[in-house]
Amino acid sequence: MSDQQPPRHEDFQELLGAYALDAVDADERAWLEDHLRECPRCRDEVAQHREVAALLAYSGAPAPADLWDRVSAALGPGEPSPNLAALYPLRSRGRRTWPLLVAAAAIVVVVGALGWQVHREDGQIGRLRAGLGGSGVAAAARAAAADPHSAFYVLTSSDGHIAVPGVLEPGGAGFLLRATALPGLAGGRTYQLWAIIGQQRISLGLLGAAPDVVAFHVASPDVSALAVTAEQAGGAVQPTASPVVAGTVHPPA
Amino acid sequence: MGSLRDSSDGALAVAIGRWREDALAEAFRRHAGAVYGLAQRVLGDRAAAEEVVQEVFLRLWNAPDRYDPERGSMRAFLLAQAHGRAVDQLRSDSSRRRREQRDAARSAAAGYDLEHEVMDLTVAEHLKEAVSALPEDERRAIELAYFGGHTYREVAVLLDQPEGTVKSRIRSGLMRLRAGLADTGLGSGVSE
Repeated sequence: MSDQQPPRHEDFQELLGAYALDAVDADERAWLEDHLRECPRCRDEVAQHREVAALLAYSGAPAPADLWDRVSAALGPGEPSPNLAALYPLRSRGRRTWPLLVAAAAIVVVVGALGWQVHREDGQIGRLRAGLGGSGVAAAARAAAADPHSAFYVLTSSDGHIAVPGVLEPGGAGFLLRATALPGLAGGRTYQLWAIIGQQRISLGLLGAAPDVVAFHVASPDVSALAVTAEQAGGAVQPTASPVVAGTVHPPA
Repeated sequence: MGSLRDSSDGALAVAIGRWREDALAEAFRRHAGAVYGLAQRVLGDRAAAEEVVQEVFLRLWNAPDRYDPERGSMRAFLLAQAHGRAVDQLRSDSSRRRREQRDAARSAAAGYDLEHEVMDLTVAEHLKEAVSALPEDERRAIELAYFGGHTYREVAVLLDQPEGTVKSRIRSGLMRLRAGLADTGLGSGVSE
């Protein structure tokens, strides 16, 4: 595995067990994944190790009873979960703790007009896919959703009735996949997206009154949560209200 | 949709690709317990484990073509994703405290080993045989890597063994387990 000699097949093979259990370093993982792309035999071995690991993981115990409700709520209209609020402590913080900060470098692209050609029966769910088939932002969101290294998250209202799923890529590109779950705003008001980084609330940009697929960028790997507030036209330098939806995120390495 | 209950993993993935929520619900029914169990074991935190489950099934919903039925069972696929995410969280700075808490909780609980982790009766019997046939060094290396979320280098430090040895033992242990499980009829195409 030294730099002087090209790695032999055995060098890769030796690592396959550890790799299958996510027990290799990041650089080894990248090195091995290059090899795996070209080596069906090693891919097969990893798949076999993962089948064995899946048996070891089997506990026979069920998932928490209300967890499906929460997953379902994040897919589209469905049963709200009364327990969602407990997951997201953001709401309980007073608005005075929101510091005065504007993110000059934040970029937000809002796609409001996507997903119109949607079959009735697919409803809101189909809207995502219809939207994702189209523009560059939507295609990027789709790619992010398919990237195994990206992280999914769900922003929810404190009562659990509104759930907005999203995805965050390594490097900081992020998307709200279905901001259509947010109720439309009237009177020139706009939604505004915030990143919570340490004790700071940093504006990621304005989303408009009826956002659909939203692209944004968070430069800091230390972002711990995202939140959406409803603000007066033109937005705010700091949030003026509690979040409409909020949720914790775990940025991928 | 009663027929979904009998669907293969592949058929289920196709139905999920057509945005059938009942198909995702069936996948959840079959596998969410295992996904949650693994995430909870690695992270030692209920809320964090629930987030991993949400994430894994949201990803399946949004990108079902990531799962290739030719390459293995849906359960192994979902568990690999959950394990990867859980380990990412463990290795991030913000989770260090969580990990310390988890390790503290663990050392307080007796009998942490593979055999005790496995509960389902029929599966457990076969697994127990296969696990008990493992050399102790291989078993511990796999435990620390898989359930402890440690890299093989960390395992080497923890066990005070050479890195290369640990790396080999993880692989040989997994192969031995597979062979042992095949003997008992559990080895191939398992975990529907």
